[in-house]
Amino acid sequence: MKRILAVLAALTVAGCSSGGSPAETGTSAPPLVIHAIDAGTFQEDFNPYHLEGVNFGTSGMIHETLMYFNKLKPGEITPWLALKYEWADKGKSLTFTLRQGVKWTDGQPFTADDVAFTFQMLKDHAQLNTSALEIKEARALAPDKVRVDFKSTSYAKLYNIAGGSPIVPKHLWEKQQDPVTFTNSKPVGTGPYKLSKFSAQLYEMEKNPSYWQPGKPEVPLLRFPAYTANALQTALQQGEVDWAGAFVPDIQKIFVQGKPEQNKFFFPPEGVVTLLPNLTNPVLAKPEVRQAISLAVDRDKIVKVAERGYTKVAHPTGVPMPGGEAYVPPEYKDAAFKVDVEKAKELLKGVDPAQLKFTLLVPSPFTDWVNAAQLIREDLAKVGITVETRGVAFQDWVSKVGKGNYDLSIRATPSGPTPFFQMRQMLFGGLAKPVGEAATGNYERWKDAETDRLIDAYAATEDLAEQQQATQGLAKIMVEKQPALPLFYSPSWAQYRTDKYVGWPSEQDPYAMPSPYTSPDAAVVLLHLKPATK
Amino acid sequence: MKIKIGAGILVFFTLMAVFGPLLIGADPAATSDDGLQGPSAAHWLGTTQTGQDILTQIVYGARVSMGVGLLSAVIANVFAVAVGLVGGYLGGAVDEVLSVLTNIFLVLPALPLIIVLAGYLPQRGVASVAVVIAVTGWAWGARVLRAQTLSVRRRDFVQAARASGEGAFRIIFFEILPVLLPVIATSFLATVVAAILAEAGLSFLGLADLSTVSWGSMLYFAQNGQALLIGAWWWFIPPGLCIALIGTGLALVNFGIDEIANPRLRTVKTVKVKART
Amino acid sequence: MRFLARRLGFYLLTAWAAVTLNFLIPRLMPGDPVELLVARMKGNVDPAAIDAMRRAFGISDANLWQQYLDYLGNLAQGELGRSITFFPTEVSTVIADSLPWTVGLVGVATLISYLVGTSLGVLMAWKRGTWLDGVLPAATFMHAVPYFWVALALVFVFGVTLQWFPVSRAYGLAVMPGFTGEFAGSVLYHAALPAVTIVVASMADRILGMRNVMVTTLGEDYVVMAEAKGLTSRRVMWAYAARNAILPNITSFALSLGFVVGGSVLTEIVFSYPGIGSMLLKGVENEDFPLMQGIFLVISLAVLVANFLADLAYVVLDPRTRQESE
Repeated sequence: MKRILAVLAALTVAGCSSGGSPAETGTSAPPLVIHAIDAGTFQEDFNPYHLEGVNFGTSGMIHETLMYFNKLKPGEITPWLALKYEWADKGKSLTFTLRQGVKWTDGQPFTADDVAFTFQMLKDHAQLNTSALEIKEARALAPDKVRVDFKSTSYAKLYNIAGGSPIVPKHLWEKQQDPVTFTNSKPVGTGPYKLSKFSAQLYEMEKNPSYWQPGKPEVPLLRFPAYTANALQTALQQGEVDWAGAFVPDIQKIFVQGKPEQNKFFFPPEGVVTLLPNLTNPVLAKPEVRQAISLAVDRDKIVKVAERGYTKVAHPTGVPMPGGEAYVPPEYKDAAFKVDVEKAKELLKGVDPAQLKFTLLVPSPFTDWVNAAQLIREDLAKVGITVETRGVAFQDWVSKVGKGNYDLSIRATPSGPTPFFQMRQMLFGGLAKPVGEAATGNYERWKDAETDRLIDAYAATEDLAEQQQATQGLAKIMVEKQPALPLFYSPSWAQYRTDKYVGWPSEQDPYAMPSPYTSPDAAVVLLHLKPATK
Repeated sequence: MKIKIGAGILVFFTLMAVFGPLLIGADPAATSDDGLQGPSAAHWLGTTQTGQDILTQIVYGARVSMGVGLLSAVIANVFAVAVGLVGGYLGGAVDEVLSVLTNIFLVLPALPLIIVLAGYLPQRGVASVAVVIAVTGWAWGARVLRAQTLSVRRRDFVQAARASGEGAFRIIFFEILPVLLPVIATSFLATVVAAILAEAGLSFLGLADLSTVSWGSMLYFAQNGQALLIGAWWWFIPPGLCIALIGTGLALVNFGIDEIANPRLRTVKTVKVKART
Repeated sequence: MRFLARRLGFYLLTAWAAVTLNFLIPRLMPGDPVELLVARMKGNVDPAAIDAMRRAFGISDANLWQQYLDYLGNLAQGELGRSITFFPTEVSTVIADSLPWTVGLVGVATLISYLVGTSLGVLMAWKRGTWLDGVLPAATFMHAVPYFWVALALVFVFGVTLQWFPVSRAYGLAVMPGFTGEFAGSVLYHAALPAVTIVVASMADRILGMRNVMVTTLGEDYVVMAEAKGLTSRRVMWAYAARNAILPNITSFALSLGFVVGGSVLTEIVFSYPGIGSMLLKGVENEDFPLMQGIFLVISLAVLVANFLADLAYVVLDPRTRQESE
């Protein structure tokens, strides 16, 4: 085994240091009020493989994954229910060694059977297999060893397998006729919390006293009230919520309220928002036109005005920074976007001005993008490009961009566990569909043999250096050929108060995504929290 | 008196919608660096979060909001007049069918229907929003007009016209229609108010055309920017107030018309017991 | 009795129209809920899983007629399908959970507004020329104000600034539902402000409507007669004039129920209230056809039933309808 990524230190050290404080001090600690996603009401659904109806906290706090992947530090993988993994058969077989002594909250021991059952279930029920894992078979080899075989090389899917598939208890789930419609209303997991109360407007989770990380968690009770987007703003303003992940229009006035040491926020990048040129449009297919557009757009102003300064201008490669340095070619490490109207005009000299007319399609519920589109329109007018911004319904935007019926649009691409996932999503030729057919990525319809070669090279190896090299190649294409124009990072929203608990992720210590709606990161954050000393 | 005040309000807003944009000339969507400024000499009504001038938006928004109101009122009333008059005049099977149709639309809950229809609209342009509102708003007028037509039909001049061999179409639209004009006017004005309110509601829910500046979309952006919570009342108050004022104006004119038709409704102290005229 | 039978027939016809409309609208419009879901999941769903999900949601490609028959068949068994937004929860469960909140809040508030508004209208018609006429311009203004605008302003004043009332949710953070005094108190406390906004916003229509009808009625012969007989003015006002003036008001009230339930969308959005209106909006936003259809159906049927009840009341209150041909 070439590479066993082990960042055990954090776990063991934390385990020792808090070993001395007994659980009783924990129970007197106050509950933590969390708002993860906007909801008017909750349905009693705790099936971690449901996409939308499932209540937040099901994966991470109740059902845990085999490994934890920190997206803020690409490549940092922490053993969780599994201690290590090993690839064999050129990426078609993956063996996990499991942690011993872990118990389900009903007292049953957690074993390799549970893991094998979970993956077998994904194989048998395509509806639950949302990462489209090409599982051939999953088998328990020993109580602490499980092997999953795949139909094709799956190195690049390690995150989905180990970091995105919550394990469910075989002894309870095997009794279910149909796991697709099973709502798991009395969830039994291995995680740090268990569901204690449920109602349509509020549910609570209390700590699992026999959790496998000794002395943890220190937050005894989690409270999840239902707030719509609107009501949350008032709740934040009135201090009802301790941890939220929301876009707040004026965070200083509504949330910070002059107490920056207590009411904190951290908005790290979790993807990149790009200006998409439809490359099937003959004018936008010209590299000089895209370059001119990129030079004309004042991204600083967009970030300041439309995004209210909550995020940063994207790196020209689109790779999230800081964090993604290893995936950026060295020569572009310090590259940055600059506005150059003169040069843009120069580039456009050979193009018939009558052709420089585009519509810019944005989903009107995304008010920040609507504002950004307005700014882009103003900027492009300065270099002689006429843009008509058109705000459409979210559904309409999804369908039009998916089918390639647009000139320009704005769209976010999630970063995934490493920047490769973002690149693949944006550039992979296999995702490009003919106009009129709904694509699920590569909406600008970029087709380039070199790009596809690099993507295939990444997927065919488990060597970190080789993977990084392939990603650097893709990053280079982003800068030099500009298939899509990065604007700014899409921020992960997180507001938190430090009056009850401390130990939140920060720019200095980005140990997990700070937003409460990211799974299983939110559970990792909870395990780091300690009562504030007053 | 009521009519005068109401008409005054309407004239004011109509002038604003027609000539305001010509006077101001600026782009209502144009952003600037002075975000969230309170009212000042430079920006009489202050600015939005992205530095858009609120007065400019109000003036341009008047066009769109009143336009939606007028357009859907015109569509709805053309429909109402056609269905109500034709049904009422012809009677029989035609009337039965049209009545059932009218009553179905009366009973179906309007706002949910508007929301559902708007939810399915691929293009939420101003015109399509107006059409959706009209589709759900014509039935009341049709019912009232049918009832009126039934009584007008029996009058002498209609009978005379019929005797002289005029066609049904001519009788309906050249003999009966003019007599019913006050009723149509009342129903028209009421529909305008309802349509403006519906457009505002749809915008507030994010279901109308948000890339066009209208009073409704202004309220949507103000609410999304939490204008009240951050103290930017100048962003939230004006669009709502304009809608309310224009609605009041229309309603006052409407009551005025009613009172001319039905003098008892006047607020002026009258001798309570009075022989009926 | 013929009158009632006729009305019943009409309501059945309307119910069928609503059901069919409900079936047709989503199928005539473009859009694919699964595509949307994928877009909203920000790429966390692999494209290869899309077909599987489409199957799970029961999105069918059968011909329209067959789908219509299936739909009617399912409906007959009370089967509304599964929501896509809350998959795999049944639409009927979503509706059963949310409807009581809407009926409780909006129903009670509407009733209050109806009673108070009608009484005020009667009073204002009776006391024309007194200070009560001053209410008229205010009512006219309120009649034209966008509801959500007033509601948000009230929320800001009484909820945020003065902090007299909670501004969102149906009960408190630390309260669990149950038959406890604490829960009931919390529910009432949380319903107070939304109810007030509904009453304030919808009362104007009632006042204006009732006043107009009442004024007309006051000129009728039997009222004049009653006054001439020397009956007390209170008696004349309530027992003679108002009783008759209220008749057309009942029909318009029943018809306005549609607006009320519809208007609840706005109330529930402003107050984060867990009712059927906010569910409807959620369904629209997610192209959750089964959920939208189910809710729309329930609202339509509720309005139909209310109208039928109004007709019954009419028959009881006004014997003339029994002979009326139309």
